[in-house]
Amino acid sequence: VDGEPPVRTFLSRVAVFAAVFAAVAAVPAGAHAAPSPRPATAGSADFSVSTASAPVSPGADGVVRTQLTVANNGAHDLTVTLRSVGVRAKDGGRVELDEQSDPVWSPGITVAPSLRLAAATYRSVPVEIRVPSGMLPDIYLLGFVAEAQPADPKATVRIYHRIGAIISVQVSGARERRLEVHALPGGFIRIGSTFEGQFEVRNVGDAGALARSQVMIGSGLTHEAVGMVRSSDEMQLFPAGTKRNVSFSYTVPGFFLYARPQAQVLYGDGSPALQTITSNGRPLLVIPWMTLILLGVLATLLTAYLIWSRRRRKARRAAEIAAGRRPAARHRAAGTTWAR
Amino acid sequence: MLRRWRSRLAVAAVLAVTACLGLAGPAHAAALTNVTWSMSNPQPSATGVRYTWAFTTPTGGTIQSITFTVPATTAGAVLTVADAYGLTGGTAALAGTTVTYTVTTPGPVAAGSSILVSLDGFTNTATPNPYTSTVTTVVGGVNTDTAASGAVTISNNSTTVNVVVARSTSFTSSATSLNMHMDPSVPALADKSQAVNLTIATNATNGYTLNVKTNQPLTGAHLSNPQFTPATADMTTGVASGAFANGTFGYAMTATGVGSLQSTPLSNGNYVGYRVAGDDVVSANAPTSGDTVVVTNRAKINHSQRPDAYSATVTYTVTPNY
Repeated sequence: VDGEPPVRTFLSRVAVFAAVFAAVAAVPAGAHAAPSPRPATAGSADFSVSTASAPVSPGADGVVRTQLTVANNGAHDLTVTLRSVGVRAKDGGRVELDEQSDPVWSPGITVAPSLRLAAATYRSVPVEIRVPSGMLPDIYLLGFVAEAQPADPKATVRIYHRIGAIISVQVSGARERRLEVHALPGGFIRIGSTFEGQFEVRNVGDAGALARSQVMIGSGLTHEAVGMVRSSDEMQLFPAGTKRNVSFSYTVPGFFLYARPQAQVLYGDGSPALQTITSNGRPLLVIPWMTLILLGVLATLLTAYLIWSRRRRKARRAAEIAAGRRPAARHRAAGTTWAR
Repeated sequence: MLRRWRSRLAVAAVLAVTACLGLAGPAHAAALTNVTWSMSNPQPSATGVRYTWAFTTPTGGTIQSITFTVPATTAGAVLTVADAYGLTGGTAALAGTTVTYTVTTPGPVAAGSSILVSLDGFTNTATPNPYTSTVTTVVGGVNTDTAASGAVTISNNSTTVNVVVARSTSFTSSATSLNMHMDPSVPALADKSQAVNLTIATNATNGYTLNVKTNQPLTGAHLSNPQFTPATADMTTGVASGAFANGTFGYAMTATGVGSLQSTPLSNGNYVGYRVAGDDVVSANAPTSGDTVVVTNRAKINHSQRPDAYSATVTYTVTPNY
C-alpha cells in the first residue's frame, strides 16, 4: 500500500504468510484421503458387499451357512444381482473371477439371485454352500459377483458395476501342507537407516495353508539376534501353488549394522503343532547417513588438526632458526639434517 | 612423530569399535514386560477355548520353551497351536497347572521382541474367580525371565465381547449408463466425451484390482453390423487426444489414492480401447478408504459413420485381494 511504512508492510506479509501456512498445516493428513462425495444422480450406483472375515466351515450336515451383506448406500433404489462364479487363486493374494460358474461348487450353492434395495438400506443375504462329496481337506475360495443393474437398460452404453466377493470354506482334516521360503537376492552394502529385504514364500503342498511370516535379524559379528520383524499382522492364506513376496524393513539403531536376515514362516499343517521353515538371506552391511556424516566430520577435524599441527611445528622451527638456536635434541638424535 | 600418531589412531580405533560393539551388546536379564493373557470365552467350564499370551522379552537368547500357569482344574488334553510370533513353531501340552510351549527348533530371539502364543483346546476351570497367569521363558534349560499377567475373571457373569469386522468392498459410480446423441454435421456433437466417476473402498489387506471390459464394440442395431472401432487394440497402446480418430470409441482414465494405473498410455493421458477380454486397469496393494477413478468415455464420428443406434455393455469389476 502506498504510503504504508515498509516495516508494517513486511510484518503484514509475514502475518498473512503465517496464517496461510497455519491453515495448510492444520489440515489433517487424512483429510486429503477423504472419500469423494457420493453421487446422488438418478443413474448412479453406490453399493457394497461384505463377507465373513475368516474361513467358514461346514456343519455336521456338510452345509456351510454364511451370508453376504449387500448395501445400497445411494440415494435411490438399486437392483443388485448375485451369482456364484469360479475363482482362480493367483500370486500375491490376488484372485481372478471367472465369468462362468464353478462346475464343482456352484450347483450346491444357494443364494438369492436378485435384490431390490431401497436407498440407504442393506440386507444380509443367506448363503448355503453344500460341500460336494469327496472334497479333500483344504481351504477353498468361492467367488461371488454382485452386479448393480443399470438404471437405463436401453442406453447407448450400459455400464455394469460389479464387486467380486470371496468366501473361504475350510474343509478340515489332515492333508499335506508344505511351504517353501527363499530369500531374494539383495546387495551387500546399503547406505541408509533401514535394513531391508524381500523373500518369497511359496505353497508347494497339495492344499492351502494359513501362514505367518517374520524375519529374525542376526548380527554378523556376535551371531546373536538383534531384532525381529513381523512381516504380516495376521495369518495369510496361501492357496496351493501360489506364492507371495514378503518385504521387511528394520530400523538400524546404532552407527552401523552388519547382519544376516533369516526369514521364518510359521504355518499350520492340520496337526496340533505349528510348523516352521526358515531361509537365511545374504549378510548386509547397513551404514546410516548419520554415521557417514559423523565420519566425514571426524575426518575433517582430524585433517584440520594435522594441518594445524604441522604448521605450528614449522612455525616453531622457523622461530628457532630465526633465533639462531639449534633444533631440538631429539631431531638430531633422529638424524635429521637441518639447514642453517 | 609417526609412531606418536599411530598410537593415537590406534586408541581412537579401539574406542570406536568398543562403542559400536557396546551398542549391540546383550541386554541384562530382567522381568518380562507387557504380559497379557486373554481367553476367547471366560465362562466357567467352557470348552474349546483359545488362550492367548503376549509379552515382551527383555533378554535376548535362545528360548527353548515357555511355561504359562493356568487355574487349577483347567483341562486341555490336546492343545493346538493356533498362532505364534516372535519365536518359531512348536507344540504345547498341559501338565497340572502349567502349560508348556516347546519350540521345535529353538533359534535366537532378540531382546525386546514381542512374543505371542495362541493355543486352542482348553476347557476352563469350573471355579469362578479372577486368575492371573505367570509366564516364564526357559533359556538353556534355566527359567530366565518371568512375570505375571493381569487378572482375568472367569465368571458366569462375564460377557464375551467379540467385534468381527467383515471383509468389505464398496463401489460407487456416477453413472450406470451413457447416452451420446451424435451428429456429424455439428462439431460439438461429432466428438463427445462423458466421464464416469468411480470410487472404490476396501479393507482387503492387499488392496484391489479394477477390471474393465466390454461385451462388444459399439455396434449398430438396425443396419448390417456397422461398428465403432476400438480406439486401440488394447491398453498397451494409446492415442493422444488430438489424434483420436473418427469412427472410434475409447476411454482415458485417471486414478487417485492408493491404486495406480497399470497402463503407460493411460498414465500419459492417452485414450485406449475397451476389450472383450478385459483389462486390469487399476491395482492397489493396500486397503483404501476411497480411491477415485475417472473414466472418460469418448466417441468421435464424421459423415462416413452410418446412422444407427449403436450400443455396447461396459463392465467395471472390483475384486478385493486378501
